[in-house]
Amino acid sequence: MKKEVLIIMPAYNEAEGIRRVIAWIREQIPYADILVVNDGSADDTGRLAALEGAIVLNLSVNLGIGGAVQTGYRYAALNGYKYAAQMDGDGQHNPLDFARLLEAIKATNADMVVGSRFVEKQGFQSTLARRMGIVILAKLLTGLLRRPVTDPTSGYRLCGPRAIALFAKDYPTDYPEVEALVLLDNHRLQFREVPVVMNERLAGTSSISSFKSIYYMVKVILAVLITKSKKRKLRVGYEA
Amino acid sequence: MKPDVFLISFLMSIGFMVWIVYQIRSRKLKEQYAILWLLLSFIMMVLSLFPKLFDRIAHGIGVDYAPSLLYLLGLIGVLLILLHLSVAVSALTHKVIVLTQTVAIQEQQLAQLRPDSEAHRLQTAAAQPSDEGVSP
Repeated sequence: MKKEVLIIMPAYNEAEGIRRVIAWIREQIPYADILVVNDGSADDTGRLAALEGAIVLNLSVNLGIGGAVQTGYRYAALNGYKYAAQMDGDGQHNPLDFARLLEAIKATNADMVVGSRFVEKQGFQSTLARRMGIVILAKLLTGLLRRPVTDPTSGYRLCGPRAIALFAKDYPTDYPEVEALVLLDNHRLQFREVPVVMNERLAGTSSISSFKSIYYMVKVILAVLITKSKKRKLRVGYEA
Repeated sequence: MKPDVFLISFLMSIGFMVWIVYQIRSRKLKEQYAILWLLLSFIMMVLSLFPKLFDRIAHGIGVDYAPSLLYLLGLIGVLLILLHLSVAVSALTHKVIVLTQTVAIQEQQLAQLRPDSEAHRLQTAAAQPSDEGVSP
């Protein structure tokens, strides 16, 4: 018996906390299948996730977060899931918020909903430097897409069928979150933000270290501008 | 013709071209990349046979010191080849990503179909997760 919702959890060397996170998600979101995309981990992540009852896809080499998440969207598209969500494997994203995301996507014609830390400014607000980076990117996106965006780097997302189909075909590779919003907009799909409360990660470290943060900002801004400069697709056969 | 630097460079370009053709024949080099190199060795050959030609070109476009034009053209040529290689590497990266994803998806489906595999046991046990190890 297949469920309607798939939760995609990219995981790289998360053996320490993966079982706790999966158990927590399964408890709070029993109506969803959990898919762990094991991104070439050197540790036991894949086996532990399978023991905990998740569907596991083992990538033979490390593809990075974008390639891993896209694997999940391809799986969702292939198996006909109506909704696919992205959640981090380190416990940052609270499954308690998930019902609100699902309600929002069902109630509106949005193709994707993004959990934003900064709509209601509750919970872990990230470090000052990181928050500054996020504010810059949020302003950039708000201007480029002409709609308010508060948390463009949030990886807590829920996609409907059209966004799943798009991401299964085309998804940015490294540091994909911000670029994916522009990509979505290029295809004239809608997204909206829903307030969530994020935690400090239970285990593991961020993929973005302080050394890499400058590279991160340059790369993301460049990728956003280049993606934005591409021609917007015409939406055929669909009325918003 | 006494053995001078032009003869030596002509022989070197011939050797270069022969080596490239050999690499293509033994399938170590794909034709699409080889064309650039063959072109390069051809230009080297022509220039070493007719050094005066190069002087005249340099003069024609207002370069006083002909060898500096040689450096400029050489540098541009190398940059173009490097760019070409970066594009080729990017294309390969994309293919590796798609293939790795496909393999992972296929592996999972295969494991589900094989009732004796550990993966199958784990996947079908999804409804009743085991209690081994960490508890939530």
